[in-house]
Amino acid sequence: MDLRLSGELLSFRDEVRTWLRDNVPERPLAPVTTERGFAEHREWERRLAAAGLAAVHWPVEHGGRGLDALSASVFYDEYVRAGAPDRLGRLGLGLVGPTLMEWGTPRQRELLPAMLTCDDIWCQGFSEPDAGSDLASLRTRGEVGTDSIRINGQKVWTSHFRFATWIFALVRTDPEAPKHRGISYVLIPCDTPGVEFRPIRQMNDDAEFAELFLTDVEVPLENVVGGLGNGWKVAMSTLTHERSSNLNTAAHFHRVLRDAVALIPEARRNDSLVRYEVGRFHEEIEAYRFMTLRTLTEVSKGEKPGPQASMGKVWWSELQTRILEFALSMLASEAEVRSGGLPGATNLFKHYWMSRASHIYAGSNEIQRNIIAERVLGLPRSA
Amino acid sequence: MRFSFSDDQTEYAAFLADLLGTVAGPGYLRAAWSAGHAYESTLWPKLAESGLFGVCVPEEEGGAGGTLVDLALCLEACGYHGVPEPVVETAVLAPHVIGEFGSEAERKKWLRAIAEGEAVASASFDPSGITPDGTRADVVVVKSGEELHLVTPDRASWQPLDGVDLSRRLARGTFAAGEATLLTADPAAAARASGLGAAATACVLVGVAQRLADMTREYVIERRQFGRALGTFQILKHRLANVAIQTEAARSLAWYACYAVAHRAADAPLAAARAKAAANRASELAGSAALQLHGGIGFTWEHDLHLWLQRGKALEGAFGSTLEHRTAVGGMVIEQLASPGAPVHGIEHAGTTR
Repeated sequence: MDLRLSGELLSFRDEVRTWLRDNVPERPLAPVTTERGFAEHREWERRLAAAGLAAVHWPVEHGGRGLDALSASVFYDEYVRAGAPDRLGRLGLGLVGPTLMEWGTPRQRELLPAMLTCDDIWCQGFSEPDAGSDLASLRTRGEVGTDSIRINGQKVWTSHFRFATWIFALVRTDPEAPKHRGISYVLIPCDTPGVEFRPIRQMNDDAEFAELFLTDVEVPLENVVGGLGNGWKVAMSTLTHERSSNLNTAAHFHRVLRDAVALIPEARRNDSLVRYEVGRFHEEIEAYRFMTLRTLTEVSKGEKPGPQASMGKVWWSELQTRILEFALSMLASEAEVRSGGLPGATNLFKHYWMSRASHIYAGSNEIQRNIIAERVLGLPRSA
Repeated sequence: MRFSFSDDQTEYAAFLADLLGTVAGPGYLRAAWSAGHAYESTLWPKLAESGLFGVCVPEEEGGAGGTLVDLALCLEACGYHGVPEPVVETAVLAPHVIGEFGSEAERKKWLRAIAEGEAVASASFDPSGITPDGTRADVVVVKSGEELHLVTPDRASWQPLDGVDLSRRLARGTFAAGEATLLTADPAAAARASGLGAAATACVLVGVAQRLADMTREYVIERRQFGRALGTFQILKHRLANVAIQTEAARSLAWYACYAVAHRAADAPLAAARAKAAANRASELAGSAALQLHGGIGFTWEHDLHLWLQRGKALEGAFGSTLEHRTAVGGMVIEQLASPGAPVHGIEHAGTTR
């Protein structure tokens, strides 16, 4: 056990730290859902890419730094600490990119460079109105022709749709095959005729995700990743990446806690109940940090990750919500004010609702607990 | 950077766990429970022979010169196998405290004897004077206010007590502590010793929680009701998943606490407090799920569950309760963050993780 950074990693950290200090915009970028915000975020991504920092965990031949998981985490830790902008190309960099490296044909891999610069923005077409947690029951049909697939169906909860140029989708190409076998993983350009997004207005008035209608969408057969009927397997390797989003570092949750602590009225700072809650949050953030560090160590040594590796998402998502609930309770009535209220309190409910979404996306926490019970504890499958 | 144990550390802990699997466990524990204060430990010489007590004793005194990191997995194994002997006190606290603050004579007298298993050490850190194995201990590390003392039986009087876990052989001690027994009056030293006790006990409690979880896991796989195994019911699965999550969280914090304490990291006091609080919670969650999911049988004397259930409850209070540790950590965090100059920001990024 040695938690010191090696000389090599120390100089990488210093390089990253210096670069971020010189480059992170002083003012927050405009919201990514607006034209201006999108342009600003893309500009930021291009600067990262030019500095070779867009995807440090990618292999060098694909424009990354070829860092192992542990070293990459050093980058993300610095990134979050520096308060750098939210990443624009997360689905490409974190999900599709690694999937194409594992399963893609040489031609499909030609899509990788544009992920680094965010010239292409990727969105996910997995969930359907009747296929949420039970994803494998999806019904979007893909009729396989001699050299193309014609796709019909509906997807939902598609984030990043607004500026997306590509969709990675699961479609049923063999309705006769068993549920998990008849699915294919297909790459669909957004400008293909028959692709239509309809934004979904959320309870907080944002529209971050959309319904996606696919009507006679025809894409070449060569856009299938990992072979026809193999989509479930390909998608599962993608979802493993999704559950370990790189920006969910302990540093991020320490920032959330710091901001919540700033909302404690001075008169309550010695309140032992308040102290107890803050102590618990701090403990749980550090627990997340060290669970993650265990996994990163195992992965970097080429070992099979231990049981803790499948527990992070349940842990951080529920922890973050509790911290925000605490922040809301500190503000009491002020929390209700949407904007123009106390400094630091603006849009607290919005953040709270967004944190609640994380209990559902990337495999709901109920599904996560099933996975832990069945795959880690070896309990029998439910009837 | 590597947050894992060396092959040597892992292999030694596996060897110890194998040994404990044969010579400790429910049968041994029941004998200890029945005998109460009259119990003569047959496990002690075997633990001594395994080298456990010498791990943290300096090499020049016949030990291995190791640190708490070398013992982390061993302590977990002791919890898992229900070892009732004062291992935290003898293998961790006494060697560290005597090694650092003992006089030349005290070091000569105790360290080699501890390493060889000839001396039983205990520790009395609670103002109540309640001490495990007090009457049997040859030497006791006493924390009195912010002082550490080294007390021998001639300067202690003991009132034997029955604890919830009879194998802990509790006694309430009153000590004739004074100039002659004083090891150090440095508050930082006393705090460090408390941290050692908390970190080491956290490891033991992780083992206890793991045992409770494993017993319950096996029970819900075997036990059938409504024509199916209990373990197929989702609500029970989720409860056990929560236990597993809390146990892994506690384990991760316990490992780091051992590292932080061993290396005297700046956050060592925080690390030990966090680890103990999280391990307490793991033991509470595991114990309460175990008792509920075993149904009536878990309340019986006959079933082994209660041996770990009551051990867990006993240790949850030792070296700091959850309430005590969390409140202390929260106070430190608030003071750190609320100090003038700490930036105040709006809550950013929260939830923007997809």
